[in-house]
Amino acid sequence: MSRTLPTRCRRWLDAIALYVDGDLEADLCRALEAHLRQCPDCRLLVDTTRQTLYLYRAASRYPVDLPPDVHRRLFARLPGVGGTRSAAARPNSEAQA
Amino acid sequence: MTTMTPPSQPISEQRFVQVVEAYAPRLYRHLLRMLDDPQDAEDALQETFLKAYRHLSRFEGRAELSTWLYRIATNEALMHLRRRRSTPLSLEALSADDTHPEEILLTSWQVLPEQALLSAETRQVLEDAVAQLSPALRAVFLLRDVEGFSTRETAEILGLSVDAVKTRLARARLRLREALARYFEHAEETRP
Repeated sequence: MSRTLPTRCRRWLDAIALYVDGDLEADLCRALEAHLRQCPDCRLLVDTTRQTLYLYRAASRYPVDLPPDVHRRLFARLPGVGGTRSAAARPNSEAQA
Repeated sequence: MTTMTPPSQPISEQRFVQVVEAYAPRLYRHLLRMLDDPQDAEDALQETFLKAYRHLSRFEGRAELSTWLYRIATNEALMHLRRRRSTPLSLEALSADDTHPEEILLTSWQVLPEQALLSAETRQVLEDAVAQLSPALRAVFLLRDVEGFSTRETAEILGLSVDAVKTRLARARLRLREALARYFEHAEETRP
């Protein structure tokens, strides 16, 4: 049976979501930290929200390839621009186009 | 397809080419996450640079280049999403942005190794969860937490107050955490 956050702790949700990455004002931060010292459920929520951000940031480091020829299609719409691109900067498919 | 008229003030062609080459990969990645469709992302990327080309001479020196380009790109993405939607948002969908998930699952996934956390399947779960956010929450989360802009810069890019960004950021983070909690709980239950 899954456990869920007790209703009495829902008032801390906004604060926890902002606390994990330093977006919470100092007075709210102190109040939340006092609550966290006595609430393991909210501590778990802080930990897993931090892990959520960590995962998204780690995943964002995986490279995303630009579609082939995207620069050529763009510069075709901008007369006079793009002729100065260095061959080294062009993918093979574009250099051959 | 339209051909853009060159800007009234001449700009360095070499400068613009440098801007395109430096920012195209980052902006395309951002647009792909915003739109969840490669063709739409490329269309929005093209429109972003066409608008940047038209206005670059007026831009120079007024603000951070990256902030300015992300503002154009994010607006393009939001326009694409508006065009994609055939019917207006329901009241339920609008109010959903103002609430947290009804249940917050208390699942810990810290025991999983990093390799498992970043498997192709997990990365797909991350992408799907972002795609489920409303465009308003998605834009804030991607700019602040994935692209790494500050809260103030994110507010500037989106034309929002800092408080509005924080409100949306909190909702987005908790919804994504909830999606991952459900995924990891299921993964733990089905592990041999």
